[in-house]
Amino acid sequence: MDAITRPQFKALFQLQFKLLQRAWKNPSTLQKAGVIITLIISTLMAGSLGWVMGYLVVILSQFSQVGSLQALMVQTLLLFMLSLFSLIWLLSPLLFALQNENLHLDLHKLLVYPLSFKNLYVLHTLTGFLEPWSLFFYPMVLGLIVGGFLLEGFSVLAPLLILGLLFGSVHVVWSRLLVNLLSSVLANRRLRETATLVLLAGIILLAFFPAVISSAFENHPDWQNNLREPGYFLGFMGPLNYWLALSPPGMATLALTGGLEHNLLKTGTALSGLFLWLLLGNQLGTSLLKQMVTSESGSRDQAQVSFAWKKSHLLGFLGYPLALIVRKELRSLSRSVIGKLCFFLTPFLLILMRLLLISTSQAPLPATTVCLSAMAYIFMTSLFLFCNLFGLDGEGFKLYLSGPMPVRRLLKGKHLAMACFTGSGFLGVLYLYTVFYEPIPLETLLFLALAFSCVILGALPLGTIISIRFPMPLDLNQTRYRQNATPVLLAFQMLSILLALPALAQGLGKWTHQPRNLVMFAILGIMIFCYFQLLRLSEELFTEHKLEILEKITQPVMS
Amino acid sequence: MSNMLSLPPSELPAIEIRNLGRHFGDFQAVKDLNLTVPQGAFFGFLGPNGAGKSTTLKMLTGLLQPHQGQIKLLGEDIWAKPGRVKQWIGVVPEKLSLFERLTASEYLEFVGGMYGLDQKTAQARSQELLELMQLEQKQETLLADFSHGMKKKTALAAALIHSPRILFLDEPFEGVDPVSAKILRDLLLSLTSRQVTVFLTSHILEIVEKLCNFLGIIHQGELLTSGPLQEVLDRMNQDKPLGTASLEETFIQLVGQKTEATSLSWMQ
Repeated sequence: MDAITRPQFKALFQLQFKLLQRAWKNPSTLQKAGVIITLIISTLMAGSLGWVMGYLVVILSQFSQVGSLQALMVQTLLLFMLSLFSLIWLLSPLLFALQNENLHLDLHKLLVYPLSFKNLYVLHTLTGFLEPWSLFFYPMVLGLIVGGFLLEGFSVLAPLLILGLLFGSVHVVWSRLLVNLLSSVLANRRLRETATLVLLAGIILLAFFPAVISSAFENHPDWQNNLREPGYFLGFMGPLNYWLALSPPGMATLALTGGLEHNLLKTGTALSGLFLWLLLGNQLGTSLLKQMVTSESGSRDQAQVSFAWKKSHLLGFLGYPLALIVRKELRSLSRSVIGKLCFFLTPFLLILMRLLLISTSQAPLPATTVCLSAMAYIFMTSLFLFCNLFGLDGEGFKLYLSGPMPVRRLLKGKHLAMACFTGSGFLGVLYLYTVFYEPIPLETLLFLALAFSCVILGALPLGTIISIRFPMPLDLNQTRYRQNATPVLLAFQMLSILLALPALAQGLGKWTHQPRNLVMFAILGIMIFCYFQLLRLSEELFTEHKLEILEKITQPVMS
Repeated sequence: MSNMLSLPPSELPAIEIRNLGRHFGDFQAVKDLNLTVPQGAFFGFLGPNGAGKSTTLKMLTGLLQPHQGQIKLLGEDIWAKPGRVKQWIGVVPEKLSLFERLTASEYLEFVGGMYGLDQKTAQARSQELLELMQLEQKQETLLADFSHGMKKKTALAAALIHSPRILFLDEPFEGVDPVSAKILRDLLLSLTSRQVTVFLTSHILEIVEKLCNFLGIIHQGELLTSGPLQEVLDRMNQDKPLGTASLEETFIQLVGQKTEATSLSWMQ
């Protein structure tokens, strides 16, 4: 077996150190000061967290002699703190790897060097102790020792430093594994986009989590007593508690309490559990490394492209150049992450809402309320696309300008594509409603269709005018450059007015004692007239500003 | 130096490939490839786009596992002893895997360390290589700020720092300026005169014709022909007097591409 040589060891650690250095190196003094302050605050926070944990452990050691309820509470608190720390340690590298792929030790780049897979992975993992998130582990351990020492519990803490080291190693191994997994996923476009959707689903699920928890409490006959009883959390009463108990923080807490109770079996079991986590992480990491060299998805995309091309002929009836533009726009939208997010967000929320209400015996929600709310949400999420019509084009915009494409056709094509995209999302919502609740009456369906048409007829040309005025590609997280918030604010104002139209139709219908669909028809007529007027205006503006648009959407992004 | 301690005997072929195969799903990228390249050869590996050149090169350098067959570099199976064999080879892959937040000199020193060179030797060699590649003025610049050609030169310098016995180069001259290309060509030729084997893939037939003394042509994953360059040319052009056949004609004849389409039917 090839051994790791000293220069290899040194080279990898130096590389990790350099990358760490560069991660904190920013050009302006202000940013540098910001980084230093963040570093100091984070170190202090990690130290304080460690201090509190040290304090808790000492208290726990005193309580455990009595075996009181307070001991359980402290134990629970400790478990939650460790879980939080664990979560931060595992998630931070992922966010960092997403942010800048050049700043982490990418395993793909190390495969060429003369090291066996096993050694390469071990070295790669060891350098993980020099990652920024791992660095905060040290002040935390220091805080833990100081906290314990000040409370004269140092004798209790000293043997637990081994536990701390094991706990830290588990996290370094798993954070490395997750980052490598993410890099492999990011290397594949389809997997990358699916992962984004899963991430989004996870975030939504987390956002709804309090509601799930509260309904679980409410449905429990004795929930008020359970809330007062910390054992509710530690009583293995659900998958969350199972996970908490079996996870590294759970194992660490168990080892800690076992040590304090002088229960060797408990401590031994927990330490073995942590060690198993370490082995599992290492094994999976090495397998993933091997997987990186055994699979590659280069040629599969080609087959997919030809399939996509065949599918796109469905729009042929629109004729040239409308079919061409619509096809291109729909393809761009469906392949972009933002497009996929916009499309799936509302149906996903609808499913979640229904799942949350499944345990309650409430009457079905009225179709008008649900579907109009979903419609508002669809427009709100895809507003970014409406008011940034040229942002996704980039260099491709030159094709539109160099070709003999009439401006009106181009705008119509883009509008048609956006209408198809948003409309299909809305159709999905209608379908889900009938699946979850009950069939929608024809009158309501007509009202919803008219309402949707009215809103989209306004959103398309108004969004185009905003796009012409502010063509710069929007960067939602604003990490690349300082962004003008005006287009987004304008788009929200536009949407607020347009979404009031269905309400106006309902109100007018009631006031004049006329069917709401009749009023909605009248509004639709006005909106069609407005659409063509605004389209003409957009056409003039576009013709005047097309070169300016090109310049702004293709200019290099400042780093 | 650790990599010099275990050098294989010079009579062994530099590269020996037996029944090599690799597929991606249903697509067979490389089929039953057999090839032998002697030490000190300047081997040109030619083929149209998507022929399987880069896939073969990745398998040869331990970056992609073959589904069948065996690869021996200087007598050792690279997939059986990757750590040992990779010490003898230098690679410039298709996608340059540089750590872009390092400067050129830092990167070369890192690569030197990974190949077992001590810091002093790595520093001295990286300086020499940067001068050779005309990058000494830019040695403190981050690789992220380099142009494509400069990155390519840095990758080539990194492939040379540990004095490899076989060099695998995937399109090494792509994006490199003519002056640097000339220096690189001379350097590679001087290396082969010292028994270093160069395995080069390229689309530029002139480069292959000028530099290589051995040739292999791959098309749709199958090796169509291989051997000493002149021998291959004469074998494929038996109707012509010896030594008069050109590589371009031979290549087009072998891969079976249409050459008559000089006019487009709709451009009258």
